[in-house]
Amino acid sequence: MRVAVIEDERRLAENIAASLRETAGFAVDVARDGEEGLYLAQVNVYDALVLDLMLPKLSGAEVLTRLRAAGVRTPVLVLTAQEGVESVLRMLDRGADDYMSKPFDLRELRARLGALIRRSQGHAAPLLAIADLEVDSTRAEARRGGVALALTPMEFKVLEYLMHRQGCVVSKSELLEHLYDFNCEKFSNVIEVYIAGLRKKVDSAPAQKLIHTLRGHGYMLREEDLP
Amino acid sequence: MRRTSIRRRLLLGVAAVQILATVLATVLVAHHERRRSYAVLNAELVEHAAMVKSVIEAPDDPSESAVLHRELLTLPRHDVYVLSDAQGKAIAVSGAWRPAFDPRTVPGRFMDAKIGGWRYRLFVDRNIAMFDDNPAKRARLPKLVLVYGSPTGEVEEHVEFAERVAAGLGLAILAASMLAVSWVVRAGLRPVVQLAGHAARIDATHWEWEAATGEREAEELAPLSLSLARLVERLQAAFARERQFSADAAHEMKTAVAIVKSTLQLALERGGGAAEYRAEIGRALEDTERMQGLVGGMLQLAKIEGLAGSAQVEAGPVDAMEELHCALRRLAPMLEARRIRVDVEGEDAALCVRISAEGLNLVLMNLLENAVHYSPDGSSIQVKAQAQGTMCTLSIEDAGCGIDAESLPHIFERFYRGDRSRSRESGGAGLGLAIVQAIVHRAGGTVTAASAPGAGSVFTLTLPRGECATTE
Repeated sequence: MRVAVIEDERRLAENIAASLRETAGFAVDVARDGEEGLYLAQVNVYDALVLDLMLPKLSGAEVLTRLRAAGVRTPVLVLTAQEGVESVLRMLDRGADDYMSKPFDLRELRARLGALIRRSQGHAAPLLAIADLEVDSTRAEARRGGVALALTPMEFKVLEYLMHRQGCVVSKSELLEHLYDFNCEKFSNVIEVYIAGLRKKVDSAPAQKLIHTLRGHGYMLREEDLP
Repeated sequence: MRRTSIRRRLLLGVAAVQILATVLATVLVAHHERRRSYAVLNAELVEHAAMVKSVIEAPDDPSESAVLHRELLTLPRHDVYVLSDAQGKAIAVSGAWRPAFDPRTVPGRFMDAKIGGWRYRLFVDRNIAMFDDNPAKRARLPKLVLVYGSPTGEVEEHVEFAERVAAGLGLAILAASMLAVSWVVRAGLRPVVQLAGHAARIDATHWEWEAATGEREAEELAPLSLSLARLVERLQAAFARERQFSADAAHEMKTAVAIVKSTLQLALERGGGAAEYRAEIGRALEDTERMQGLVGGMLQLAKIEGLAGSAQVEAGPVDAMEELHCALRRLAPMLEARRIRVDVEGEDAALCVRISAEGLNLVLMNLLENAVHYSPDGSSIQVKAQAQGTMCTLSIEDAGCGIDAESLPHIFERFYRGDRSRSRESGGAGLGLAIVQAIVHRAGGTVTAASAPGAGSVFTLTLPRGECATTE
């Protein structure tokens, strides 16, 4: 999952980003003002945005309004230090999906962000399943037929993303977009390596093949074989 | 507290004046009526006396007494008379009545007396000559004295009636006019009542003032209405400032707490050995320093502004040049590290200003730290100090990036965040310049900023001059 944190407090942004990277395994980009945040959110594909309200150059509210006006549907979690329910209502009216008041708990931030991402991709429960494959995103565990799979963190991230988008074609570039922040070098053959690793672990013993390759298009996770 | 009513007072006042006027009018009418009626009565008395005189028959012998032909007389029923000779002997009397006085000694022609319990007016004619055809005899006839009286009851009744009519009319007019006056007073006071009503609606939660046209147009109320409007406006602005300040302060505090909390939480999550924890704790400590600065700044500001309300604290005078050099000495390590030169151009002698040493030190440190902060490495800062009349000016010019025109008018505001990206880097909470301004204003001076973006900024400090104790 890839998330942008738009927060001008350097230390707070660093801490949030570190927490999301290290514990949730997200790819995190940080923007230090409203303009930069708006630009990032428009050019990159994020699974969620963490948006501070008081930002230099462009306020959080303005960023939100412009994003929604531009048709960006990424879930947005607003961070606010303002008192009163009015500002919260205004933010929700402008298209925010959730909010948290400063000072907040990092664990709660991660949980809320995870829930937002799941819901935006059409899943309410943290446990994703297809056939006898189960992926628990809160505990970072995957099981096939009740047997735990020993996946590397990156393999888990690829599988988790494919699970979220099950039944859809996911291109290599989409996987890259969602799994890496802009500080990472991106090589598309890295994805092939992860997919190969996943196939070995997920689709080895059972008869039913779940990970399918559409040559020239990308990958798809579904129960039936491709025609 | 007893409540008084302007309307009631006005009505009572008008009523009192009107009652007084009515009483006066009644008294005047009665007096006039009495005088007129008594004049008529007097004329009637003289006339009736003349009738009595006309029926006196002189005796043939002057030594005998005269005869009054009473049968020829038709006089009012209650009238009385006594005809007597010069010696006081009665010749004819209307009834049983005898005057209790000697008519010959009565000074005027008319007098009042009480006869049989009734009030009478008496006419006294002391020199009646009897008529006889023979002039010689006529000369020898003695003079007679006639006292003729009429009861005054009728006249008094008439006067009383006139009095009643006057009083009644007066009271009727009074009642009618009081109704009219009550309406006029009510209508006249309506703007005042409305104004009071509007003013009463102002309270801590409802700070609005909208005067009705009547209140604004009334010549007498316009100043009050206007000053209330201004007061409310000023208070509104002050409240808005306070609200903004507490909202900003809360925002800053929450953010500062959020940073420390997230740092500590991250440290717990990361775990690791003593070295890792040590590093994380170090970061948390750095984060608390920001909080410390924020709290310190807010307390400082509160202290200065609290003092502004109380009596002027004994301030200075203090040598500005000495304080300036003192501040520069304290900044020396930072200046050296950044290779920034400070050129001081000013008086060699002491430049005395009326401000507390502590305050001036804070002001200079804040302004100089700002200048150093925004100056590029290796540049220079110009400090000029000079005395101008009763004031001293001190300017600090840096060669930094300057302040954009949009932010310039707001930089002295507390927590101003227009140029926040810059101030954030420095870790400041946006209170430094607000503190500077508060201190300088308290000392009766001014502080202004001028800047051209890209060409640096100049902060100019003006402080009242003082007399320093002679320094060796």
